Amino acid sequence: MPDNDPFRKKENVSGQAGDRLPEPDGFRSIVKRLAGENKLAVFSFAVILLFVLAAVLAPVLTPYTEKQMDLRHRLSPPSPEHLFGTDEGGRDILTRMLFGSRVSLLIGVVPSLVSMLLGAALGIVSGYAGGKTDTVIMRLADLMLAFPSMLLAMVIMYTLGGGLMNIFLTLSLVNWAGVARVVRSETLRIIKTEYVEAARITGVPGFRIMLRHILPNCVPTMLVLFTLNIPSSILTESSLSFLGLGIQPPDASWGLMVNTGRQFLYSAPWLSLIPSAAIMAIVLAFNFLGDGLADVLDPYRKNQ
Amino acid sequence: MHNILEVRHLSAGFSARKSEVKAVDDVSLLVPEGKIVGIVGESGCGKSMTARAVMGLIRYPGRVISGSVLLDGRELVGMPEKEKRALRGSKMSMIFQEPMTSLNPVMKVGRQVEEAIRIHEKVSREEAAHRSVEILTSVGVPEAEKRCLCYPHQLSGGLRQRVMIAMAMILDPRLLIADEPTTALDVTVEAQILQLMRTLSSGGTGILLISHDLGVIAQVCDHVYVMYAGRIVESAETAELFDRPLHPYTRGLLNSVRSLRGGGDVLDTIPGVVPNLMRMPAGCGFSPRCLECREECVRDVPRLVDEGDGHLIRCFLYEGEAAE
Repeated sequence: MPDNDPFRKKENVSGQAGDRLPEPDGFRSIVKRLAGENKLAVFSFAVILLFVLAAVLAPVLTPYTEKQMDLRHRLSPPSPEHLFGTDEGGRDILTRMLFGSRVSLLIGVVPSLVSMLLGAALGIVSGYAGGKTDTVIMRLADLMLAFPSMLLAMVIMYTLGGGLMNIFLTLSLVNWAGVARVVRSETLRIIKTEYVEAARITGVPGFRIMLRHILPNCVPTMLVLFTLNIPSSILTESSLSFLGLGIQPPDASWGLMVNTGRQFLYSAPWLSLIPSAAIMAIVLAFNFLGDGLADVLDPYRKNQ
Repeated sequence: MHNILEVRHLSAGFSARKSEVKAVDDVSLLVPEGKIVGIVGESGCGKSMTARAVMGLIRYPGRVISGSVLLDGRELVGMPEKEKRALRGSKMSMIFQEPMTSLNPVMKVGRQVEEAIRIHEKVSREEAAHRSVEILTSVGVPEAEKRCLCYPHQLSGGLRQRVMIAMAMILDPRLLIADEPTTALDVTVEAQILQLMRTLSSGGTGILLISHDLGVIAQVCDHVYVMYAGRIVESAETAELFDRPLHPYTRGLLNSVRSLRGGGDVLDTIPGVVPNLMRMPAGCGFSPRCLECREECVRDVPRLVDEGDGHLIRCFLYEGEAAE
């Protein structure tokens, strides 16, 4: 462009959007908007952080260990020594809750992450390739979704036996299909945009288009899906443990604790109620955070 | 004069159930080196489809039905996808109507321009970054280094279109297809972008400019093709076409513009709309709207005949004359 372009100066002084310097549009501004718009989400985030801290610092926070029995103080109600009381083996409930939260959080995050990656990869390939590939992947996903997920999880757990690794595997297998569905539909939307077209016109190969142009534009949706997947995983684990198919005693897990406490629901209600409350709190916290993120990351609201 | 792009009898369209619908019907056109060639026509007359067919980017279920597209003498129709990909961006490239949506919203502008280089040439990231700043400056992006770090939504429409042009031009392609490049921009920015295209073509690039705006065509094009309902109905040098429009459709288009300038109270328009592709008239595509429609117009498709000096016209009004 020649330097004598008569319009260029005008554009510079007109104070259009183009003259604004880049402002950070990363993690920080998202947190800022979240804080400004949705107090509940911030509170939920704090709650989640508290749970994570408690899980990490579990051995430091309590003088007891999770499996340490004290048969003289069985089923004792909450007291200064045992803040949440003790269970039928005289084990400290608070301690077991703290250690149990490690399981719950791990089970919330790890299978969600695995099913997220698996689902995103399959969803993008399915949407981008189309045709037969699309049909095969999506019918497979339909198959997974058509099957009651709890039943499927139970079948897998029966076959493989209890234990943390098997729960990870089960939950990942159960959840990928929903993610693949959503990511595929996002891909179909993004693929029609002009910037993907422009990339193809520049000669960008397909794999790179998926990785550099489609995937990053799916991330907001995936993030929301991720935070909503976590509580459902935690709940599934609790249900499995409650049914005796998940974590095996004497290991601690919230679902398992609700289950064992069930027998003493009238004589020692705190055995079931306290872990139930914890499950409810963390599930709600993740759900609220997910909702808040969905609002903030919505591209239409972002532009306003 | 060497022709960069040579399109011969190109037909493209969609297979709908059992019938075939032609959106582009027997189109032939030439883009010589260093010239700007325009295609003008109403929405839905096959302009963009022609451009996509040239780039080999017609989306399923559309396809090229017949004809050939030669880029610098190389046949593009039927060329393997991999070879075509190597040509896209480096030998031919394209810019779109909508600068607002043509850039990836989550990728920094600089990275997007760099990508175009790094796909086709093995260069270091620094080298690519350096070159993209250079090209952005040359297409008139002020403070290019800073702009490279911006996301697209932080730039104005004019700047975004410049970035698009920079991306398209960075590897010095032989052919640039501009599909309504200024439609979404305001008039002052439009003038700058058109000036930029003229500068590019004087460097030897052949430009195929697609527009429905006769003003734009008149300003920059050397040669104009008028398209209607998938067919080329008239073709001439720009000055010749504007001085002596022959086809009733071209005259209608020009009158629609002139009535504005004449200051009359009533705007001249062409009655009716572009026909639906599924219900194309058997004869001349323009016959239902044509004021000079005759019997044969409804029955047969007129041939493209030379009215002298390379002024081609597809209309029975002139076919008879040429025969006499």
